[in-house]
Amino acid sequence: MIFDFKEYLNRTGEIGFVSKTVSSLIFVEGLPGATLHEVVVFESGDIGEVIALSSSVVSVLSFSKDPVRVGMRVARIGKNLQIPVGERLFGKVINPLGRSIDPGRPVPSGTEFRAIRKSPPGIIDRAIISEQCETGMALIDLLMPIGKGQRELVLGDQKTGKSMVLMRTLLSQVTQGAVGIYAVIGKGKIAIKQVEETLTNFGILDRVITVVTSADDGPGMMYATPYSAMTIAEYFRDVGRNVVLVLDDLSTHARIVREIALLGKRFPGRNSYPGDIFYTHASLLERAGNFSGKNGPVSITCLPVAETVQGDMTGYIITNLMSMTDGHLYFDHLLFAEGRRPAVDVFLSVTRVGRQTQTPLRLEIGRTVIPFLRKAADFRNFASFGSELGPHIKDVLEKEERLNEFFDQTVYHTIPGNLQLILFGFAWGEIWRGKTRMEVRIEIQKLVYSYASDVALRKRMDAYISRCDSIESLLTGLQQFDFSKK
Amino acid sequence: MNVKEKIELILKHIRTAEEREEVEGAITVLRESRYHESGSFDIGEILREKVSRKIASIFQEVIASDEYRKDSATSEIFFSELEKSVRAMRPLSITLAVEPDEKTIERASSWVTREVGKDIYLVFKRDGRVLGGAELVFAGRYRDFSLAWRLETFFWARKEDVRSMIHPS
Repeated sequence: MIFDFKEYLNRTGEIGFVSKTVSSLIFVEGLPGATLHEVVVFESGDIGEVIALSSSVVSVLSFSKDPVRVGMRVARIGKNLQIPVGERLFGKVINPLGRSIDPGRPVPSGTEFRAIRKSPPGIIDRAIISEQCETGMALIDLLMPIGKGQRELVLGDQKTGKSMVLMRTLLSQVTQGAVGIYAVIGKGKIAIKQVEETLTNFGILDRVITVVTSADDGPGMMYATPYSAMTIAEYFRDVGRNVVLVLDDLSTHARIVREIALLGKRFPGRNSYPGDIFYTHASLLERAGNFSGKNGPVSITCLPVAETVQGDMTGYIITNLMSMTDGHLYFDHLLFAEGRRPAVDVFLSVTRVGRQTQTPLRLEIGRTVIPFLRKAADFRNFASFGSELGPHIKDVLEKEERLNEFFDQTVYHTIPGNLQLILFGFAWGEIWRGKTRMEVRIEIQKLVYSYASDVALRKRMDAYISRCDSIESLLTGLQQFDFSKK
Repeated sequence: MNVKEKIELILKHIRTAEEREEVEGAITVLRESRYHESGSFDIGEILREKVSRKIASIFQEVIASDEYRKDSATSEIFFSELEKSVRAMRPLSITLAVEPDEKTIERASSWVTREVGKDIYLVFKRDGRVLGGAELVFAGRYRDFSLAWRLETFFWARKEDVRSMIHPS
């Protein structure tokens, strides 16, 4: 969108003059009719958003990297910031204003625009979360399930595999027909390139919309990124499509909010964050959820990311985000160093509304395996003393190894839900008892390959799983199931 | 004359930003001169070094030489009130294509004083791009009565005519 300064000046009949600039924060005198979050246009053609009003000055957050000089004239647009939405954004990498960052792939012109600022829907518009959002990773799908419409925080240190899990989740959901939106907030350009390349390698770039700001973009742009991404998600929800939205990452966003608030001389609160930092994120995340649509529930599943430092989950922003989301997946740097993929610590992770979406079999698996893994962890600590281990403890530790091998998805991006259950049955039951890790790995490879390539086998396996409602029934039938090609 | 009447009389003569600046300068000079060495003391002489003759004569009209110097408290009240009143004046910015002459300034100023209020002074700016007419800015409100804008909207409303003239097909 191009804004003609002179036209808006004459249309609104109001003018302002820049009296002070502090980085991206512009203080404007005049504009008596300015409202909060209204867009203003500078004489240079750049735009900004009104973020604060006082009796004498209007504070504007500029979206431009170019400096604004004192004395420059400013005009009101009369509207809040709007961005283009629609299917024309598929496959595009755009900035928060809806403009493509790649000149070779411009966004086609269209007619649908939406304001990025919106109040979250009320209770009446919401529906109970009842369908599972499959990530394609067995550890998460079985033990820490996510529901469609859930807000599940993804937290952990940098380089703990969070981005790969998010990409795989997008892959799993997009191939099932959902819309993927990935918002990159203030990361380096190389990280943005990696996101684009991963999506291309997965073959889903044309069904995902990427909203990006790099680290050298102005605070205004970085601030608007998650709002723009959420607005695009809401558009697709309103046309009846499920959406998976990744916000990577909100801890950077919080730092930008702090920077803007301190520049505007707002009174600093805890850790110098502004007093309304909780509201800033909560009002954003509340726009996601499961909603009643015309043809059934439609969801925006939101996966906000937060980075911890040395595993510290007790930080201000982290605890804020944990309290306003429906659970969190904690990525442990120690598990990552051990080679676990995904490096999710199931003991420190939480899912508040995911289990209600599971079938009885999956529910029983989660309720059985997590206490088992806890017991196994205790036995492992005991075993570190070096004393003689009884047969029961050895059995438990061996089973734990089989399970870890099953949960390890270094190689496979996604494993379909029914195949996860089959593999679990093998890992949990007696069939693989006594096998080494390498042997278990080979068995998994064979089954994954068979499931993917043999349509008839896949149908039989799916039908078998649909009949199982408990671990016992799963294990009993597996002994007799014929996995050979027909 | 009481303090209020004196202030009103001075404000009546402030028409433009330059005159306002001169009055502010005069206030500063007079304030400081109260503490100079005594000798022959003439306000007009003091002011003429710093401000125009017109402003100097206005101050001479309302303030007697010894009066403000002897009674420091009363004169301080007068200067404070005057300074507050001058700073409270609101600017009306007028952008013209040419420098206004004295007649234009007087006409504009008296119209504003009569129709809008006495606490307004004019800020004249020159911008050739205006071509004619004026652009007005007051209290954050903007009105474009310039010839340039009229021409632009005139031709923009008739762009189809212009296009069909250039490309008759």
